[in-house]
Order: sequence, then C-alpha cells, then structure tokens
Amino acid sequence: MAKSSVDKSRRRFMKGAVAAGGAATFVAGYADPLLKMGKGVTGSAGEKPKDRIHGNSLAPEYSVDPQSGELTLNPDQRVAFTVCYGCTTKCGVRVRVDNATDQVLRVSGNPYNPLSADEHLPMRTPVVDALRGLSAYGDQGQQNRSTACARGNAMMAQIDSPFRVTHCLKRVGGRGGREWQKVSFEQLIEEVCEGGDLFGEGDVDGLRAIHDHDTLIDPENPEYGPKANQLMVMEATDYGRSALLKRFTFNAFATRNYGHHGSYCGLAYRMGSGAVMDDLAKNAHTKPDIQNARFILYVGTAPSQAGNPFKRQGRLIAQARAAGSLDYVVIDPALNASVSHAADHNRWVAIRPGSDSALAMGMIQWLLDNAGYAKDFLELPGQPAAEAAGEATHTNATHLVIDTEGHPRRGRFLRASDLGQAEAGSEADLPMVVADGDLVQGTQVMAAELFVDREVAQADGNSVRVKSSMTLLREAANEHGLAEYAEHCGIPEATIIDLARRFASHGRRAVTNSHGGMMSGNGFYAAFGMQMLNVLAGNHNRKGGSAMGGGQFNGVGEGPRYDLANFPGKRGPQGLFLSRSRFPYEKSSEYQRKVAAGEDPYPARAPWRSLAPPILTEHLSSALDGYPYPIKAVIGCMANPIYGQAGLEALIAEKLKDPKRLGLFVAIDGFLNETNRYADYIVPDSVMYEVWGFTGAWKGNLGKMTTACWPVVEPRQQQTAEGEPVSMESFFIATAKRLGLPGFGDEAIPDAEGKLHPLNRAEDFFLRAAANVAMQGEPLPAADASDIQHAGLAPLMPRLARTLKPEERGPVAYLYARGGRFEDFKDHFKGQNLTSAWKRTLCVYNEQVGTSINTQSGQPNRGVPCHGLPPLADGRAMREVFTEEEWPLLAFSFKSNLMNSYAIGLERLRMIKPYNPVMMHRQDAERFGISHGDTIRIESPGGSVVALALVGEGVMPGALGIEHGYGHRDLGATPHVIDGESQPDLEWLRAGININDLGFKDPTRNVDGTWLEPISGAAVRQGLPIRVTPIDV
Amino acid sequence: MDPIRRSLLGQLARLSAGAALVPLSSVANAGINQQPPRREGDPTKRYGMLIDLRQCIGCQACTVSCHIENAAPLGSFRTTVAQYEVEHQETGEVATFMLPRLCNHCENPPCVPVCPVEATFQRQDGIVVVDSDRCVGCAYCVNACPYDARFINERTQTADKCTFCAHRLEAGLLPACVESCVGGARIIGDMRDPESQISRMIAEHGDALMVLQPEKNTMPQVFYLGMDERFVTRPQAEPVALDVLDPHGKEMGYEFHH
Amino acid sequence: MNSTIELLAPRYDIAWYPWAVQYFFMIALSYATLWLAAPALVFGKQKWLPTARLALLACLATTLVAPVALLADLHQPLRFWHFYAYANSHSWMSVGSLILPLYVVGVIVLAWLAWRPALQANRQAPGIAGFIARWLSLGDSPTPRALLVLVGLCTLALSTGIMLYTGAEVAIVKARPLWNTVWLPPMFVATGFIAAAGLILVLNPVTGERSTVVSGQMLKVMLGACLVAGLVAGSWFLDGINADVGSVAAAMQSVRGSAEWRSTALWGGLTGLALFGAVLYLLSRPAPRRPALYAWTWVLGLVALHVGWMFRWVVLMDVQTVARHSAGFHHYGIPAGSSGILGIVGTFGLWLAAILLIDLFVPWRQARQGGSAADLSPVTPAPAHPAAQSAAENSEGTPSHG
Ligand SMILES: Nc1nc2c(c(=O)[nH]1)N[C@H]1C(S)=C(S)[C@@H](COP(=O)(O)OP(=O)(O)OC[C@H]3O[C@@H](n4cnc5c(=O)[nH]c(N)nc54)[C@H](O)[C@@H]3O)O[C@H]1N2
Ligand SMILES: Nc1nc2c(c(=O)[nH]1)N[C@H]1C(S)=C(S)[C@@H](COP(=O)(O)OP(=O)(O)OC[C@H]3O[C@@H](n4cnc5c(=O)[nH]c(N)nc54)[C@H](O)[C@@H]3O)O[C@H]1N2
Ligand code: SF4
Ligand code: SF4
Ligand code: SF4
Ligand code: SF4
Ligand code: SF4
Ligand SMILES: [Mo]
Repeated sequence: MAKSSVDKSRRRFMKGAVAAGGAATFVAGYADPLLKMGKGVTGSAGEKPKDRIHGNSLAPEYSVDPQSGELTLNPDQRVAFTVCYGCTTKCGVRVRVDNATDQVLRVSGNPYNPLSADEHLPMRTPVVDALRGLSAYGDQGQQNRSTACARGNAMMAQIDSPFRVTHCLKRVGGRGGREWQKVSFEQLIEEVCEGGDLFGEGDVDGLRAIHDHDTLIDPENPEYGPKANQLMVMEATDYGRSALLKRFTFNAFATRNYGHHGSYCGLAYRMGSGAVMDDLAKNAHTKPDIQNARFILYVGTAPSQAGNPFKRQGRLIAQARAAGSLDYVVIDPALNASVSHAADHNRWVAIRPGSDSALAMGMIQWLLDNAGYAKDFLELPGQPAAEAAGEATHTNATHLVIDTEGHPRRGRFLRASDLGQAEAGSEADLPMVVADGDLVQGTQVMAAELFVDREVAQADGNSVRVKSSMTLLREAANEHGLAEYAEHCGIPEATIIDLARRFASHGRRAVTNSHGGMMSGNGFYAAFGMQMLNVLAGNHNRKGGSAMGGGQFNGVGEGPRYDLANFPGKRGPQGLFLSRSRFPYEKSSEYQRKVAAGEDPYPARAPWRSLAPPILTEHLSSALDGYPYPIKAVIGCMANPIYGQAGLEALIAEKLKDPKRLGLFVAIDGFLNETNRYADYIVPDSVMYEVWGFTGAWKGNLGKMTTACWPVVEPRQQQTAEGEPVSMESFFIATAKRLGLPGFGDEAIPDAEGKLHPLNRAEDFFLRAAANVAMQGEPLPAADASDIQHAGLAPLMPRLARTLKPEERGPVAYLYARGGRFEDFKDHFKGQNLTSAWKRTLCVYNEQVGTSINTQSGQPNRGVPCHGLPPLADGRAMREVFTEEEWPLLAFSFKSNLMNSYAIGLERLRMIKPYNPVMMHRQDAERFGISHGDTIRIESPGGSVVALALVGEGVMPGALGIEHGYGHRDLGATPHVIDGESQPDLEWLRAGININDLGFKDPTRNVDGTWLEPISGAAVRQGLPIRVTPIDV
Repeated sequence: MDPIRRSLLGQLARLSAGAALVPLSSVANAGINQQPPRREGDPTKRYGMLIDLRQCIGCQACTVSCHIENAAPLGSFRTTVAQYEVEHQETGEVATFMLPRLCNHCENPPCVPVCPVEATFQRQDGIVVVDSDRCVGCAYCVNACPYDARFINERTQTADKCTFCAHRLEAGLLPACVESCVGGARIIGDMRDPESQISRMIAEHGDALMVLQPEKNTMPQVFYLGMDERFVTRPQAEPVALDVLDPHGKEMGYEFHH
Repeated sequence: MNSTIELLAPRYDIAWYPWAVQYFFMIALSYATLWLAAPALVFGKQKWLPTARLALLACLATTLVAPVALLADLHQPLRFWHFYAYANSHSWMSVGSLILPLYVVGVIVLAWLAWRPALQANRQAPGIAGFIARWLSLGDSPTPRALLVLVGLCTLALSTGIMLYTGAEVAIVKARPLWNTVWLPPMFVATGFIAAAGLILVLNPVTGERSTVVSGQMLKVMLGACLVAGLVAGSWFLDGINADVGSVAAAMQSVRGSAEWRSTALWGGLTGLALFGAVLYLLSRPAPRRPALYAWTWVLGLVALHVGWMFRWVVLMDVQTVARHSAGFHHYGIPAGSSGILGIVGTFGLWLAAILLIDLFVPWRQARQGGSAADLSPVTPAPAHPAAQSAAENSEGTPSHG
C-alpha cells in the first residue's frame, strides 16, 4: 500500500509535469495571438490606420468641387513638375511632396508634357486649370490623362534607398574590393586634381598633370593628339545635365575622349538610320507617326514592352488598337507586351535573332519585283523636283554611282565634275541622273530613271560603269533567293511576301521601326535594310509615316539671353578617339608605316571605324590595352557599361583593377553599380527630382519640346564647404576652378551683351539655360501668383531672384510652373506632310558607307543594305567559329517592361516580378530534355549562368530569350562596406540572370574586345551562341 | 466520360441520401447569408469601372500607384495585372493577354454578409469597404471573395481591399490606378449618371462587356471590354513559374511572403 | 487552351491559418464525444456509461481548447467582443459566435452535473484534490437527474447548431468550389465521429480503463461513421462527375491534373477504406477473441484521429492553396512558428494539459447521471460482458489511480 501510494504520487507528479509541459508548449505556440492580444489592449493588434475606411491612403493633394470645379489645394502638400529618371524616356512628371517632411508621396504625369499626357495641354493653360483637368471633374482626368509608368511610380524610393551614396568615398584596399572610407569633398577634389601616392600603390597622375595640351601622347603617332586626351569621361546618356559635363570635357579640359552608352544601347540601329538619312554624324532617326499610320512593322523594337518614348508609344498603340485605325506586326524572336490578344489587327511574327537583314532584303526584293514602292517619289532626282511635287525632300534612288572596280572614285556618285560640267566639290557639282535616256544633273529634271546600269564616258575620255542607287539596291536584294532569306531568318516565304504585300498596300502610311533588336552581329545592315523600307515607301516627313519629331528648345547654345556654348578661353579637343572612330585608318601613321615598309596594311591591329561615332564599347577595353594609346584617368558619370555591355566584365575587370593600366577612376553616381565598384573615388550625386536639367524626347513626339527639371526636393547627399550639394555639377565646377580651367568660376557665362556671369553652382548654369529656353522665339509670359502656388514653386523663387535678371524671372517661373516648354498640341501637318521635316537627301545608296573600308579585311563596305550572316571581327561568320553543333541556340535579350537596368533595388517592382525566367520554345525544351519550370545551365563561349526555363510557344525555336534588368551583382546585390559599416544584404537583388554575362571576347581580334558589330562597333547582345542543359539543384 | 454513363451516375447521385440536404443549403445561403442593408456613401451614385483590355499594355502602373497611394504592405495588392501567353482559338496565333483585376464592388458581394461584425459593408454608392476599427481580422471575407480582391493587411491586422479610392473620389479626384493608367484602359465613374463616360461606354459596348466569374452570381461592377471568354473564369493555363533562383540555382523563396 | 501560359500572376497568402484546423478538429471532437456520452448520461443507457465517462472527459477538454484555437485565428483576438457588440445575423460566423459560448457553457455545466456527486464524495480527500472538490462541488445538495437531462438535451441541441454552423460557414463560400457543397457539413460530422470514436479508443487504454465494451461500442460507431462518410464522399464525387452540380464539377476541375491532390485523394480514400476494413474485421471476430484483439484498437483510434484531422487540414488549408483566380496552386509552406507547427503542437499541448488537469483533480471515472455523493456506492453498471469486465469498471468509488 505504501509502495502504491509512492507510485501514485509519482504518477501524479508525472501527470502534473506533462500537463505543465503541455501548457508550456501551448504558451509557446500561442505566442503570436498572445502578442496580438498584448498589442490589442490599445484597441488594435496592428497599426491603427489614420481613417477607419480609407486606412492609410494618402491625403489628396487637392480637392475639386464636383459642381463648380473649384480647386482647393491641400496646404500640407505641394505638386511640382520635374523629370523622371526611370528610363531614358525621361518623362515630365508631377511629384507630390509632403511639405513637412520633404518626402515624395506619389508621382504621376505632367499634363503639359507630351511624353506623359494623352493630349498635352497648351502652355497658356493656367496651372490651376491643368490640375483641375486631371481630376474627376466632368471625367476630364480620364479623358485626358497624364501618367507615370510602374517604374516612374516606384522610382521615388531611389531617393531614400539604403543603397544610395550620400558621401564622398575613397576606396580602401584594391579596386573592386567594395570597401570604402568617407572623405570630404575638398579632400577628394584635391587628390583627384593633384594626384600623388593616393593609395600607397605608388604615384598617380592627378588631373593637373594629365591636363597637358602641349605634349603629344605619342610622337610616333602625332594624330593621337595631346596628353590631355588621356582623361576619359563617360556617362550613360544625357539626362538633361550633360551640357555642363561636356563643357568641362570638350571645352575646358578639352579631352577627345568622351563616351556615352549609345554603342551598347542602339547604335547599330541608329547608324542604319543615319545611313538612309545621310547623317552619319548624328545618326538621325525617326519614329512612326502612330496616330496616322495605317501599317507599322516593328522589327526589333517593342512599343509598350520598352522603347522610347515608353509611355507615349504604349499609349498610342493602345489607342490605335481600340480605334482599329492601325494594323501592326511585331517581328521579334519573342512575344512581348506589344502584341495584344484583346484586340485584332496586331500580330507577332517570330524571327531568328541576328537575321533581320534577310527579312529586310527579302521584302525589298519583293517590293522591287512587284513595283511595291513609291515610284513617283523615288523618281524625284533633286530638290527642285521635290518642291514641285510638294515633297519636303527627295532621295538618291536615281543618282548614279561609279561602279568600276579599282576606279579611284569607285563608290562615289557620278557628279557633274566627272563629266567636266562643274568644278569638283563646288556647289554646282551635283550628282547625275538619267532622264529620258540622257545624263543630266539631278536638279535639272522633274523625274529620272530609277534603274540604270550603263557605261558613261568621263570628261577625261575614260569610260566608267555607273549604276543607279536603285540598281545597286536591286542587285543586293537579288543576291539571295527568297527561299534562302526565309531559311536564314526563320520566317516562311509566304509570310515575307504577305508582309511585303501588306506593307506596299498601305502606301506612304506604312512604316517600319527598329531599335534594340538591331544590336546583333549584322545589325548595321539589318537596320539599314529595315530603314530602306521606309525610303521605298516614301514615308519620311509624311503624315502617318516616319517622323523626325519637333526637336528641342535648346537652352545651352548661343541663346537669346546667355551664350552657354562659348566662353572666353574655350578650347576644342584634338586628336584621335580611343575607339579609333571617325578617322580613316588609311590616314594613320600606323598605316603609313606599314605601307612604307611594304607590308599589307590590313588588317589593322584592331578595327578602325571611320563611320562610327566615338564608342564606349571600344574606349575602355582599348585604353586598358593601350591601343591606340593608354589613358591615365577616367571620370564616369552615372554609367554602367560593365552591366550593360555583353562580355565586358570578363574582358576588363582584372585589367581595371590594375592601377598601372589606369591610374585614376573617379565615379560620380547616386549608387554603387557594377562599373563604379572599381572606382577609386565616388562622388555622391543627386538623384532624380533633386536635379537641374533639360531633356527632350527620343523622337516619337511631333512637336518641339523641352522638359525642365529642378530640385523639387532637397538633395539628400553631403554638401560642399560652400553649402551646395555635392554632385556632378559641383564636382566639375570645383575641379575646373582648382585646375584654373576656363568656362567655370566667376566670369564664365557671357550674356547677350557680352557681360560675364559666374558659374559657381549648378543653378548658375541651368537657370540661365532656362532663361534661354523661356525667352527664345516668342518669349513666355510671366508666371502669376496662382501658377507659382499651384506648381509648388515656392522653394524655387528665391533662387531665381538671386541668379536671374528681373525680366527673366517671370518667364522662367512660367517655364518651371509647366515643367518645361512644349509646342502646343496642334496640327503638326501641312497637308499630307509633317511640319518638322528632314530636308537632307534620303539615301538608297550611302556614299560614305560605300566608300569606307573594313580595316580588318581591307574590303570596301557595301553602300546599300545587303544580307549577311553575323560576322566576327575578322569577317568570318560567327557560326563558323562557334558552330551550331557546339552551341545550338542563340540567346537574345529584351527589356523588361517593369525593370530597367538600375531599378532592381525597387521593392515595389520586385514584388511584382522578382525574377526573370528565360523563354524557351517547346521544341527546344523537348530537344534538350527540359520542362517548364526546370532549372537549367546556359553556357556560352564567354560565360555560364543558371536560369529557370519558361517553356512555351512565345519564342522562336532555336532562340532563348532573356529579360534584361536582373542578374545584378551590385546596386545593392552585394553589400559594400563604408567606414567599416556594411550595407544591408538583400539576396533577392542578386536574383535572375543578365545575358551580358554570356557575352564573350571576340577570338578573332588582336587587341581585346567583346563581340562588336563591324560597321558601328555596337555591342552585340542579340544572337549570342549558347547551349543549355537541365541541372538538378 | 460518355454521356450514358454520366446520366447513370447522375441518377445515382440524385438517389443518394444527401439529396435531402439540398433544401437545407438554400436556407444556409438565402436565409442567413443575405445582404445586409447598405449604409453610408452617396445614395445618388453607383460607382463602377470599365477596363478596356484592348488598351491595357500591362505596364503595372496601376499596381504600383495603387500600392503607394493606399500604403499596401509589400507583396499585398489591391489591384494586379496578370499576363498570359495565349493562342488565338481560330488563328492559332500567339499573343499576350493582360488581365487587370481589382475588387469588383459586386452588386451581390459575397464578402459582405459573411462578416461576423458587419465591419465590411457596402456603401450606398456601391463601394464595398471595410471599417478597420471594427474588423476582427477573421479573414472570412478574404475567403469569401472569389476574386482574391481582399487580403489581411499585415500592418493593420485587418481586412484590406480596393476602395475605388473613395478618399479621392470624395475629393473630386480620380483613383490612383485610373489616374496612372498608361494605356488609358481604366474608366471609373457614376453609372447612375447617364452622361458619365462610363455610362456612355456601357451603353455603347453593351453586350461586348463581360465580367469575371458571372456564374458566382456576385454581379461584378467592373466590366471588361475585349475579354476572351476563356479568362472569365479561372484560366486553364500553365501556371506561372514563381521560383526565384539565386545565381547558383538555389531557390531563395519569395521575398515578400508574410 | 492547352498552350496558355501564365507569365505573371500575383501570389496570394492563405487567409485562415492552421488555427482554423485546430478549432474545427477540436470542436468536432467536442460535439461528437458529447453525443457519445449522451446515451448513458442523458438517455440513461447504462451500457454506455464507461464510454460516456471517457467521452465526457474528452468532450470537456476539447470544448475548452477549441475556442482558444478559434480566438487565435482572429488577427484581432482582443476584439472578440465585437462579435457580440456588432452581431450580424447574416453571417454564419456570427451565428456561430452566439452558439459557441452557450455550447461551451452547456458542456461545462453538463460535466459538472455528471461529476458533482463524485466531487462531493471527494470533499474529504486530502490536499489540493479535496480543496478543489470542495470548491467545485458547490455544496452537498443532490444533483437532480432531470436537471442533468435537461442540460444534456439543451447542449445536444446546441451541438447540432455547432455542427450546422461550422459546416455551413464553410460550405456557403462560393468562392471556393471545393467548399461550396451541401456534402461538406455532413462530411465534417461524419469524420468528426470517426475521430471522436478514435479518440476514445485511444483514451480507453491510456487512462487504464481498457474496457472491451467501450472498444466494441466505438468500433460500431466508427463503422457507421465510415459508412456515412463514404456515402457522402461518393455522392459528392458523383455530383461532380455528372457535372450537374456546377460547384462540385468546378471543384473537381480545380484540382484535376494536380499530382499532389491526386495523392491526397488517394491517401484519404485508402486510409478510409483501410479503417473501414479493419473495423469490420474486428467486429466480425468471434467474441472470445475480441479482448486480445481489442487491446490493439488504440492503433485504429490513432488512424481515425488522423483521418479526422487530415480531412480538416485538406479542406481548410489545402483548399486555400487552390488558386481561384489564376492558374495552378499557391505555395503554402507551413511555418515553423506560432502560426504554423508550433501553434498546432501548442493546441494539442493545451488539450493534453486540460485533460491531465481534469484527470488530476476531477474524479471523472465516477461520472454519473445525477444524484449525490451518497448514491455513489454500490457500483451501478452491470458489466456488459463478464469476461470483459475490466479493473476500471470496478474501480468506481475508489480513488483514481490512473
Ligand atoms: N520598360 C522599359 N522601357 C525602356 C527602357 C527600359 O529599361 N525599360 N529603356 C529605354 C531605352 S534605354 C531604350 S534604348 C529603349 C529600347 O527599346 P527597344 O528597342 O524596344 O527595346 P530592346 O529590348 O532593346 O529591343 C527590342 C526588341 O528586340 C528584340 N530582338 C532581340 N533580338 C532581335 C533580333 O535579332 N531581331 C529582331 N527583329 N528583334 C530582336 C527583343 O526581343 C526586344 O523585344 O527602351 C527604353 N524604354
Ligand atoms: N543585354 C542587354 N544589355 C543592355 C540592354 C538590353 O536590353 N539588354 N540595354 C542597353 C541599353 S538600351 C542601354 S541604354 C544601356 C544602359 O546602360 P548604362 O546607361 O550604362 O547604364 P544604366 O544602368 O542606365 O546606368 C546608369 C547608372 O546611373 C546611376 N543612377 C541611377 N539613377 C541615378 C540618379 O538618379 N542619379 C545619379 N546620379 N545616378 C543614378 C546608377 O548607378 C546606374 O547604374 O544598357 C544596354 N545594355
Ligand atoms: S517611361 Fe516611365 S520610367 Fe521611363 S521616364 Fe517615363 S515615367 Fe519614368
Ligand atoms: S470583388 Fe470580392 S471583395 Fe470585392 S465586392 Fe466582390 S466579393 Fe467583395
Ligand atoms: S476580416 Fe474583418 S471585414 Fe473581413 S469578415 Fe472578418 S471582421 Fe469582417
Ligand atoms: S481604385 Fe484605388 S484602391 Fe482600387 S485598385 Fe484603383 S487605386 Fe487601388
Ligand atoms: S496601368 Fe492601365 S495599361 Fe497599365 S497595366 Fe494597368 S490597366 Fe493596363
Ligand atoms: Mo538605350
């Protein structure tokens, strides 16, 4: 009994213990509800929102009475107009700011700005009326919207991003180590200018030492120019602030070497366009007049997926879809957002990457064979005929080209001087045409023969073979049969014919447009061919055709108030670009030496591209390899070529780390990206909404426009000793002043009377540019108090007062109150012609191209578009070196409709699409044993990445599509350490892949370079040879 | 399954004992689960939305602007735009289909009667809202909405959803998503006002308009133009590949799960 | 539409957490055990008294724990009073919120009435047990049987309310076709009885009662419940296949082609069949062999509990992962913490604590159909089967030694 009682109490104890254990688990398991109950004591287990129904929704910025339309501003907020940096479209936006905290609350479109508004408002509209027009009053706001896209909305988080740099930084340890220390702006300027043993790695030349215009870089090669060229300055593109950067680079420091992202953005397209527009200097380009076009062929550009202007094009094709006014076809290796299942009259046609020249030449062949071109227009031989016909310009379709092999003027137009009718190079030395069987000057007849192929006796008695441009084009088009074109581009013959037929059937309202899709191995000729279709349709300058757009109100030139282009002591750069562009190799010392030594001058050590503009794609890698010459310093300003150029990182990262190859690398940026990670110094820059500047449109808008921006919120970064925010502007101003360069400092900006004004802070420059914009042509009126109040200009007014002359302040305020200056939305047409016309002769044959020489093969380039398979630098087909057996697929990339190249830090975009699976066709998936959702390895000759396969029908078989914008290694993807403190580590920023990691070094080059398009030097990102394998993870 | 077997099995089903339960279910639904009276809001108005899918470019401006305007927690949405790769039924052509979705402010909203505390209610202007002071966070309404239009806001711990931006409508302004719609697809307005843009468009497009899941008898008041019938109900599609991989192919999960 | 691919779609979280499963499980055990206690307690079937004692123990413990789990599924638990301040007669949940407390009170009072004579008998016990007995028994007045019957009947009535509301609450949700069927409430009830019978089969040996009578009765209940469940499931299936009940067809459509759902269905079906088969087998054994076999029925009990719990898990959790608006399924990985595994374990912990505390302080083995301490001896129930008479049945009136 005693035993049992012990037993019993032990049992009881055990039970009690188990019960206690159960209760304890319960308490642990009940932690969440208990916590909530703890918080709930105050009435809510969560954060109590401001309003029981509206929660934490923002307080409206103003209200509008539904009956009277009376508008009442919310005194706690302001609305101001500025520019968005969410992509290169650079839309004008309206920004809501909290007055108390200076925080941006939300962003939407500026109703005066054509890039944001459906139908932008006339400048004279009072701001209060503009704001009312955005409201629900009378449904106005949705009949005429002004928007910001997803990125444009999300971008405001950049301002307070944990990854933003706000302090001057100097590297700690070797380059690229992601470790920094904070330094003062003044120390940074001193070290950058004066150099010295800055990193304990030996002496570094400062900018003062490099700024030498008296010593040649290389006396052996005098054409390289002075040592000052050993500073290279690069930037992404003009975000409205480039004028000041260029003032420093070209005219104050005066180095030759400036580069921007053009060569890895869309240069192949731009040059193809420049070739038909006879503008290889600026590479003018056009956009379809979407509202009036009847048929558009988008080949390698995807409106509403990306494209410039992103929103405007997206909106216009959306409206056209609903209205049924337009038929369009998107020719792309991948299906994207531009093709809508919800509407008819739009369609996707899949094409093999890098094969567009086949499609172009196939279509041209059909059009020529079936008289599917604007015959009357093309027959116009000169401007008098064009004017008589009511056309803005004419083409050189009828002009004759000398085609005798070995003739000194082979490839040149047959001109009056060739026949002894004029002095060579004189005004009267006009191209010849054939009319009614006779050779005549193009200006003398109203029509000429399109197809000519004959011998002509020259003045010197020699006979020469001439062919009309059209004949050359036809020959090029007939070099391959339609079946072969179809096979090469993967578009069935019948579809090519159908496209050509439909294109022709819409006459001069049929247009083609291209861009990023031309960044392939044969991109220049592909783009040239595509643009040729526009010439054949005769749609340039026409309503519903290819539009030049209205251009910009230039504020930074010789303006009515200030001359911002010239200044005392201004200098022009001299010498050869690092990229060996715009300089015929045949004039180089290298060429001369080789010829003198009896060697074959070809190939040159590396490509020289006489037609191409200076290209960043060659600059960096060439400079690091010292060909043509080495550099000593780089200043990079918000540019990220290492992320953006296929194959660049693998090619140069190690060299970039070597202080012997590059002494000094200063980066001016708001963020630490894949490129400036290797910098020695970081200058913290303003982020959008905090900047001054003036931007335009990348075409796509018919009227003239300039978007203005000013710091609508205070810059968040460190300030200089003078109390100005550290920025790109303050860096160049301080550097120039320290080096004693002209154009900066107290007496730098001449006004119309020649009186000099200071350039000591950014606004000294930009407000004067604003005065030029506001007061050119018919000056803008002065803003009234209501405008100033409704456009949130209060913080700006004192700055106007301290910088501008009294008579300038009103019009400048008027300009900023509307976020820029925009030509009124009105009829942009004169009859069937566009008001803003391109007046130069349109080229069927481009003489400059036709007389240029490929310095690797020594062969002349073709002056008309032609088809070829993507080559490597030495001219061999890529597929010869990287065979299909080994690399069975072709990778290409397309822009994310959500992300851009630096948006990855934005949580509100990541939450929608955190990752970029790659697009693979069902057939290929089967071929390689891959299913939808599988993890795969993608290998190229230059790299290897791991991706998730999205298997479907929305991509060309044989091609693999990669959305661009993911796969970052910096911009937050890897934490940097600043003064011993690490940035946050958010692994999600590293998610996804970047096709540029699959880029490769061109194995056929002697001086290292990535795979570049031969004529333009554009980075090839479309059609990279790859193979895929499923992997188990 | 062949029709004969089908009907046979149908007979069986009807014979099975539970057929008696059917009348009971109508009590469950009709008797108890009825719409409580509407309250608050302007009785002279009835708000609705029309989305012209032909004009939707899938830009997600609506998603992000709504998220900012209404301070939604990361990863929770009052409106979304799904994107599909679709084959045309007749031509077999492949194209992109964008489907913006938000609360339908249903005429017969199943989310309302289920609320045990009448925290969620329909205003007289048709807008379905949640009184966050009253909401107990039971999430019944979240489950009851067939359109995934509701979520529990992790910050407020109460139900959250599209309010048609009532705070802006009341100020005479447009909802964030309408204001920001790049393609110009979203039209909001008072359907009792015959002159409003939405009334005119409804009149113009009439039968071409469709709503989501009409079979649920919720009577949605968000109308779609250019809709493919196959998307009216739950789409039969290869689901989105949602894995997020790190550079080594390791799955890293979704950053904004709650 | 076979080539349609969803390129972009949002992810949705589930709205009801595993707490909901715990509540639905506990409350189902509660009402089913109440009904298992009822034959003896309310309707005076002496043969069922051993079962009734175990059932009442189980019933009280689960009844206490269920609302705790329910509260946790609220994101604003402290606002539970809103249920009463702003009751909404249009909402099944609101209706439930009114029934539930009455039911809980009913069960507590019923248990008290049933245990009061024993408590009164225990008033002299030493230590805390005696203290509690004194305190809980509220005097020594007799416990009228009529009162017990009345309370029992009321609570049974309330329990049907619980069955109805828990079923209807889910079944009216059109948004989820897998819920939206008249077959769901009866299925909840049937699986509830399976689990409840299982629980008693487990408690029977664990508490040391080891009554063959109890086992036999529970096996029969389980057999019946299995039959009903099978019938219900079959009818639902036929409704769907025949496609004349749209929601069922839609429901089946929503999970067709999902390997996970197929295996879940298969698993559920097979376990159900196995359970049914085993029960049938046991019941058909010749009487002499039963005691030996019945000693193992707790294993079946566990399987039955698994069936009851899993059914609720699948219905409440898995169904929420079926995308209703986009393609496929949403991922739900059960979290480790409070809103997941720890919460589930915690609820069971609480239940265990509750049952042990009752066991420690309440002489539940002496539960009766009314009366007073004085009535406690002699032992009332005649053993159903002399051979099966267990020690437990003889122990009435002796202090607990379990
Ligand atoms: N959403 C968004 N919009 C943007 C930007 C952004 O980052 N995001 N960036 C802006 C900038 S900087 C630019 S330059 C523009 C560029 O705008 P786009 O030129 O429209 O864009 P890309 O993506 O470069 O290329 C266009 C298309 O070419 C296709 N393509 C690839 N290879 C080939 C090929 O070989 N042949 C053909 N025919 N097509 C091919 C791609 O699939 C892609 O759809 O967009 C601007 N707008
Ligand atoms: N594979 C592939 N490659 C591509 C493309 C593609 O579609 N596919 N697109 C190409 C095209 S079209 C282009 S234009 C290029 C773009 O390439 P780049 O113009 O070189 O690169 P971005 O990434 O635009 O670099 C801009 C940098 O500016 C910084 N920045 C961002 N916002 C701010 C700000 O507000 N203030 C300051 N001060 N700095 C800021 C960030 O560090 C960012 O990295 O990439 C090209 N590369
Ligand atoms: S298109 Fe969008 S991201 Fe690009 S500038 Fe305009 S609003 Fe900003
Ligand atoms: S869409 Fe959903 S949340 Fe909106 S009213 Fe209808 S049922 Fe309610
Ligand atoms: S979550 Fe809130 S609004 Fe929704 S049903 Fe529950 S109490 Fe009502
Ligand atoms: S109406 Fe307002 S709350 Fe509703 S989806 Fe649009 S922005 Fe969001
Ligand atoms: S903002 Fe408009 S166009 Fe863009 S995704 Fe939303 S509904 Fe479509
Ligand atoms: Mo670009």
